[in-house]
Amino acid sequence: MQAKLKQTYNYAFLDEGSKKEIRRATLKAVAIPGYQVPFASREMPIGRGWGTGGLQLTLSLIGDHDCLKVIDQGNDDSVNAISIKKLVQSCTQVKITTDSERATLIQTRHRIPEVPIRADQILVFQVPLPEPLRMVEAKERKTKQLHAEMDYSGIWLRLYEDIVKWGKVSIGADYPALAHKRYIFAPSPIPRYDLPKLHQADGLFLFGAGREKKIYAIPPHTDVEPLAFEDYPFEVEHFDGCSCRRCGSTDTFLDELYDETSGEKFYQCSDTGNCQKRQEMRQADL
Amino acid sequence: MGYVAVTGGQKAIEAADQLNLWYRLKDTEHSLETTDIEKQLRHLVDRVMSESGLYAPNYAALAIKQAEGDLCEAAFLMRAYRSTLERTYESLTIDPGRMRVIRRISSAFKDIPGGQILGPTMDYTHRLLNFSLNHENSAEMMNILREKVPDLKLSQPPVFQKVAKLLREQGLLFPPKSSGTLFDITRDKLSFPAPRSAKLQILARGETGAMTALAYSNMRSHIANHPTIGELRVGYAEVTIAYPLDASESICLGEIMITEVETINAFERDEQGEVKLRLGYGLTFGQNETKAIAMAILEQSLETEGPSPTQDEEFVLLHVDSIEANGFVSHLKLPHYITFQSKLDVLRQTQKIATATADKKRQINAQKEGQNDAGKAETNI
Amino acid sequence: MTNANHFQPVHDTRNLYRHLLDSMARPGKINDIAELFHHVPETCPCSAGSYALAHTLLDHQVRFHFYSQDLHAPDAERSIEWTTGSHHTTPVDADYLFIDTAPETDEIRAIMQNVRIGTLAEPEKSATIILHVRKLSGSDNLDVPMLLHGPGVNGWHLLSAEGMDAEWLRMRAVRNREYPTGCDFILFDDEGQIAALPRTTLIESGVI
Repeated sequence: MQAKLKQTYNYAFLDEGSKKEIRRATLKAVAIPGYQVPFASREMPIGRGWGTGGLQLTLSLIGDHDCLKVIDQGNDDSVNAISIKKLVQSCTQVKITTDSERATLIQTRHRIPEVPIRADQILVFQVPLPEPLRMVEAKERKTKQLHAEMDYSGIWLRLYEDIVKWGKVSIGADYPALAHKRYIFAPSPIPRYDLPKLHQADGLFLFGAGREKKIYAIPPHTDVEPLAFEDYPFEVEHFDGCSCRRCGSTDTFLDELYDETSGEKFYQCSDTGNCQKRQEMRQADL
Repeated sequence: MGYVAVTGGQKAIEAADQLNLWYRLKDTEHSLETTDIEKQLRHLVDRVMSESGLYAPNYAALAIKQAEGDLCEAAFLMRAYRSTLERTYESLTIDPGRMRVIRRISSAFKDIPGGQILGPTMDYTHRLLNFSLNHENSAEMMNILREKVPDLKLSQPPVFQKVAKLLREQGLLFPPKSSGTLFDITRDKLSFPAPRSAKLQILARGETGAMTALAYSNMRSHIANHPTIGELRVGYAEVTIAYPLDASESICLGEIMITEVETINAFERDEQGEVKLRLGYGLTFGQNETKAIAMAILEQSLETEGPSPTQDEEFVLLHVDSIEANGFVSHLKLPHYITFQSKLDVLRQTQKIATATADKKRQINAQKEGQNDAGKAETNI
Repeated sequence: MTNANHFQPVHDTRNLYRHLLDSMARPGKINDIAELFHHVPETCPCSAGSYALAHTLLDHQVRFHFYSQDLHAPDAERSIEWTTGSHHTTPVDADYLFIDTAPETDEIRAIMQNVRIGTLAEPEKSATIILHVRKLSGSDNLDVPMLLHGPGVNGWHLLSAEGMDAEWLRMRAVRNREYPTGCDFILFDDEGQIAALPRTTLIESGVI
């Protein structure tokens, strides 16, 4: 089946027409940071809602000189990440890595690697719901107009109501932010911990929503400001006093886990590639 | 470590593939022939072709076999295959008025020119399990065909004029709405309001169950719309393309089976003040009658304005696609550890705030009470 | 197998796109695609840059305008139409404008007054102008020096061009006044260097 894929389908699966369309949309997305550029979006051989937007971006970019890393929840070995890698490998000859520093192209779901993305790397996000205003307005026609008029009062009101009700903004992941002081955008369900990494970064960030048929981008060195009030500033997740059980790090995003036998809570790096490297470094030090 | 993201992902996927194979074949002696699916489960094949938007009965049969009968999965397999195919030609407009009809009914008129043809339908078959099918064999099948339905294969299905044409000639119907430039939902970016051709394309490949449910809601509660079926016809239509070297000539590529439904809805006054009937239109690949009727109802509903969910084009058009709805609902099976962790963090912070606020309130109350007590003490003195 | 004189529809377009994307994400950053220019057939009736970029960006879904004072301009138009499936049109309707030879200043004004800049609701429905210049440089040594700021630029960035009428920059500033509407520029030179100026880039230039 895998061997057949190479014969039957074009290089990088997509036909050249589809790639061109995605590329044109991506260039526009880069020129208008945070604006959701519509694209036709092809059906892919993986589920709609399972990373087809990210995958289409990756396939429009990838060439044999690339080195690809795919993560889901920070994990290279998550079944969905494996499935996506398998598909890309079946229609290209790219190298695969788990080391984010060796990768030229990284496709991710829900995390940004711990090591900052460099200027020669591209990070592709899988996006389930690209419209940050959807939480306050159900209609696409209306949200489009709100963006056009930069009428963001609805979402600000929603944040304010949160504070009144809960004492703080209750949004967990996928925290809305303002790009280049113009567009509010959804950073995909990355934790708040990762959101500041988009601000004035060295790397290029591309976002693909396959089912919702949108592509958007945050170019390098672009202002990305999480929505917050002066007296209720933006806060990332708290891991005070916690450290990774494997590599010992205290400055990474941690998964909360429970020991099967004792039921005891412990923590572990969510970025498995980085954790692995840190473990090796720690062992070399010993 | 049950909670950790599945490690050994590669192995797990391979094992899952093997298990699929095992569960597909473990209790059987022979593998299912795709021709059996294609020739004997035609409604299944029609539905998969219709929802995938790819007319290829043999591929649909293969998809059904591969998906072990999961219709959404089969339609998805077809759709994913279709999306890689080159769009070499655009067919000329098919005129269903010229189709070779195998079934044709009208609920509007008792007598329609050419008459009503019941054709192959289970509408009036009693829904009683036919246990004799358990023991059907090839010889018996041939006998039945030869004795009970003689000559059927030989007779050419006839061509009939459409009922709508008659109504239109009498000036009872609004002229058909032009679709303008043809929009291609698989190639063009859709924005709202959607062009009419895009609406029809989305509905034509919508999920049967979703469309039926929405149409039902339209009929039953929201606007209590009860259209009359002007005509429902099932038959074979020729697909032709312009001859590449001479556009005045055309080439027939073959026939496809389609179901076409025209519903007659409420009457309305046009801009010139004339009162005419509105027509709803449904067309699907294969024999998909309920879906075609649902399409006609939804199509017509989208042409009207009002509070019903079926009058909201974003609501209807963005939610009837099998591949998209299934994909997103089922993506919940993917790990969401990060988002959940983030949510837990917010919850814990909120709890802290709640506790701190409660403590503060208690303190203030305690202070107030203290002051009050002190006050009382003073007055007592 | 040699790639000489054959611009590969799969790998060369991808390669060029990656450089272009890098240039668009980092305004003013010069990417070298000279190697790809060598794959453009010698018989091509336009500049290698226009040919390569046309084959990377165009197909039947978009329309282009080709401007050239060269005698072969009609051949180039037709050749691009046939090989990409895209249709030639006026500057008003074009998604991509290829300016293959330098127009007169008033022609530049006419083109720029007509190009689409999108709308506030759909700023992506705007034109991309692909400008052939003689030479690009990453310092301020050429005729038209530009000091760039904005998204994609870390602080500021220098770019200068030779064989580029400063009217382009003047008109660009006029048409790009109301962000997010505006048009994006791609510049390429004879040596196979490309750079881009998306609409977000603020340009300070001594010549305008």
